[in-house]
Amino acid sequence: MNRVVVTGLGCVTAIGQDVATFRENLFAGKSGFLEISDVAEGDLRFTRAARIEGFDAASLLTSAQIQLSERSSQFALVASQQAIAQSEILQAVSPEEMAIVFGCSAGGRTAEEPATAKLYTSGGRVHPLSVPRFMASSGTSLVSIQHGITGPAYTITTACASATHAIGQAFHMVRSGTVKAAITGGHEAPLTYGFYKAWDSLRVVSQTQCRPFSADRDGMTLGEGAAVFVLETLESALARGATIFGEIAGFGMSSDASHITQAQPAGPTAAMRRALQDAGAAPEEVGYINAHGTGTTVNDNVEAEAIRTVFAHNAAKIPVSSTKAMHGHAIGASGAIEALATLLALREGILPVTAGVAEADAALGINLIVDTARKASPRLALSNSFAFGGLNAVLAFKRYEA
Amino acid sequence: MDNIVGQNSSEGQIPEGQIAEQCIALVAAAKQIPVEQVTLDSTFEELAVDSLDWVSLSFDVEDKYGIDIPDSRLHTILTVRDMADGVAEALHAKAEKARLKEAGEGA
Repeated sequence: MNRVVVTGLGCVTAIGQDVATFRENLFAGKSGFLEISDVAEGDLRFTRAARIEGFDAASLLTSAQIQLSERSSQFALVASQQAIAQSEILQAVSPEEMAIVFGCSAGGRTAEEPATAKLYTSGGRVHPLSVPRFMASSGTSLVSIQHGITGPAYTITTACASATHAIGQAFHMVRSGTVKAAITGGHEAPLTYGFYKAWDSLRVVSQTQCRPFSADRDGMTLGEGAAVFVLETLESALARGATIFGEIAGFGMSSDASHITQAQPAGPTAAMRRALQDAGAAPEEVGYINAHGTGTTVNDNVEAEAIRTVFAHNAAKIPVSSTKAMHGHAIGASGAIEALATLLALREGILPVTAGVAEADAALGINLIVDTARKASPRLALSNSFAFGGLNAVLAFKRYEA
Repeated sequence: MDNIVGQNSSEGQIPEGQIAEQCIALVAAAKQIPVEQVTLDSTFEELAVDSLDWVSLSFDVEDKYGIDIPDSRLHTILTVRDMADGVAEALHAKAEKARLKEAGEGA
């Protein structure tokens, strides 16, 4: 089996619309939460979201791409351009031997919601480009079209674990030799009025801002964005002298088979164990966990319990952070943004802080990184994603040492 | 009601030359090419107007003129001239419908 490395990074997030800015804000513990300005005051129980300001699609994409796409796919296109350009993979690998696998949960909501609202209230016609703009797989198609990539290409939708499942699938395809390289990650632009209202009704959104694993946590903060990676075999990366940002060592999945919203510890426990098993690693080797850490009471309790089960006496020692405290919960893109944070942490030996948390919830029994980012040089890290409906996905990343 | 019907009827009397010019302008704008590159004899194939372009363009044309180009006609339109003819036919049909309605209301 091939070893799989990451040779291109791209992102559009609330804390940076390129990897350099994302990195700077990530390690500085700077949050990207903004006041929600397009909903009437008092209409929602919460007031902030990790919204991306000043995303200038017109300067980054062609007018034809813009006409065919909506915000979510545009994030995918821009993040992919960054990753593909950085990796120079298209100069090295035939596009027939490359895959694209993205995660996306909400689909083309920024186009669909206003068009449908207008139709239902004032009737009339729906634009013929609506269907291509609404498709959740549109990001995958548009990236394939732009770069001429003709291998396996598809979109995975598993709510908040979508991107992690996508990266895991792409990893397995490159590892097994099904393809020589893959473009993978996740994209999401769900910050619409209808989506805000739906989450508001679930009573899981923080009225202030998310403080994962904090004693005074009061919910999640919604976000948006994309992160994209170029994966290829270690052999190919070395042969062409590509910069290697890190290695994907393992991937584990599970389903709670229990409840459509209420997470259970057994599922996350199994997913972490399977990721380690897939990586051929022991729990003692893990030196950092980028938690799913939404900031809801239930998720953080369940995730901490799963960490205690998997790592036993070591659980209280392994540094854990949730970078959602900076980039928010970008739903189907979250796993990709967190994979990026995890890769950067391993590469640079800096573990990101859980911003905004004054004091970790002592009852959880985990070693939460608070106050400031920590210097450390772990060799192996996990990135957890646990979706509503109990669909769990965990990636194991390794620091690459030449 | 009379006033609205009257307005619709007058829209049915756009000179054919003007319709042709407007169709050329719409196609050029949709494909982001200079108007000079589009003539009545240009085929959609030459202009790289694919089926999705045309279905989007027809949506805009229908909105612009307040007309409905029937599916059966839509799929036979392959040139800018066909498009202008299709618009003229639809405008005519619209005027005829309005005239009949007016006559009906008058009776």
